[in-house]
Amino acid sequence: MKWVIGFCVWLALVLGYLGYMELEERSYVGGGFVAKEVCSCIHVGERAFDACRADLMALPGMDWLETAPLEDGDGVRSGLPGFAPRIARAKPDRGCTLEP
Amino acid sequence: MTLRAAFALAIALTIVAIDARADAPARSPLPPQRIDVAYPTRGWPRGDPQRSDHVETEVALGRLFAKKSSAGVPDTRAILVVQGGKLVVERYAPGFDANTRFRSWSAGKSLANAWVGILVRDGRVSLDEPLDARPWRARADDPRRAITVRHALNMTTGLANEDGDGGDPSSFIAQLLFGSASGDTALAASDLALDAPPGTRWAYSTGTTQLLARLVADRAGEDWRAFSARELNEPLGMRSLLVEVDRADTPLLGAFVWASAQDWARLGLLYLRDGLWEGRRILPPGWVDFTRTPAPVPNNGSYGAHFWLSGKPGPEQYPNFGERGFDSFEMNGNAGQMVVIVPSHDLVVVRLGEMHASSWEELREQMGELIEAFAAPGSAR
Repeated sequence: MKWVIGFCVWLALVLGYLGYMELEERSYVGGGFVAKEVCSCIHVGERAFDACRADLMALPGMDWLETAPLEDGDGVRSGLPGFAPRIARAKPDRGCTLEP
Repeated sequence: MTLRAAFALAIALTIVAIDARADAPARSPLPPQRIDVAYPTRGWPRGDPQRSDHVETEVALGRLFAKKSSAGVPDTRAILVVQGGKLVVERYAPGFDANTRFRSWSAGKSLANAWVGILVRDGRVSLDEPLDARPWRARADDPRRAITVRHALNMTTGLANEDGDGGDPSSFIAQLLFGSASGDTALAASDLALDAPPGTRWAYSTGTTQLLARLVADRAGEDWRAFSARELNEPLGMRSLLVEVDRADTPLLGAFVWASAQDWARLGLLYLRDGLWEGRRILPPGWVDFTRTPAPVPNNGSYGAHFWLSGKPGPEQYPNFGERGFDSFEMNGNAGQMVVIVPSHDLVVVRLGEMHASSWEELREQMGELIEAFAAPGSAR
């Protein structure tokens, strides 16, 4: 019986870790997508943050991502809650570039 | 390879090439600009569609702007029709206008064709020279050094860098544009193995466009922005054009080119006019015909040189306007970005926007209806 409980705990830990890794990857790539898209929409497309964000939120799954303009007004951050957000930063004549 | 095998391969490639052309509507000559119509360098000459059916046009436009996202914004944000060199339809969704820059997605790939064409015109690049990306230079016998500029333009590099499903975070395209490969897209797209000999298999790849973007940046002989401004943007009057970059300053031609709808129409008109603009040759002679010739590989029927064609699509290729009998070629991007060039109708049609509530099939149908409304070859008043 003990080894069955031990196996279940081990399995739960492995699945939890894999699930965390999957979510982290989704936050990294999905956050990158939204940060880049919204930043470019604002700074190159010259539309308002709310209009740009609303466009993306029409896509499935996007409303899970927390998205906000940077405090200095030069970019956008986005990511799943609890994970490091991705940042896209705007530069004149270069549009928006994703930070690592 | 034995002589017999080489002969058999040559015969097979010839048959494939002939077969691919047989599927395409007959290719119309590229119509010249009428002498009494100015090129739209400073502003678009305007006119009414002379021989089109106004009712059909309005119905098609109504359908194109009807589908709205959950945010209440029409998926189609801009439609422009240019016939006979004149702007005959210009319509925008609320909140968008002639000053709005629209994002290209893959329609920007066709700008890579223009930039490479200019370098070919000036003898700074040749179609059959090796692409020679950085990671391939370490070994003289690296098989990737057989990849040429032509292979890249035709999407037949053989590199294992196919886009895959953009909705999957692990796909190559998602990693390239938004994931761990987004810092240096040209390096990421080249640092991969071959999964087919160069020139034998068509595979759509944003990474391949990034290899061409890096080639142009390296060969322009100056900052690539200055090169584009002097050779393309300023001669055509494309004042809104902006190309975004990755962290290595490689232009993101594969997906992130921005321009107003009028400027997208200018680029389309350049191709309709065989690369000529106000008597100046922007693209070399024969370049547009090369652009609209399908790459002769077995799984390709509708892709030329970074432009989509109207031939019968191969596997993994988009539906197009060939079934309607149009000899069109087009810049084409995710979410229904289209710059459709129809030489037989002396026509350029631009559609820009999103695709939240509509589908490719619907958009193709509606754009086909719009083009058919201008089917009678003629010019604008």
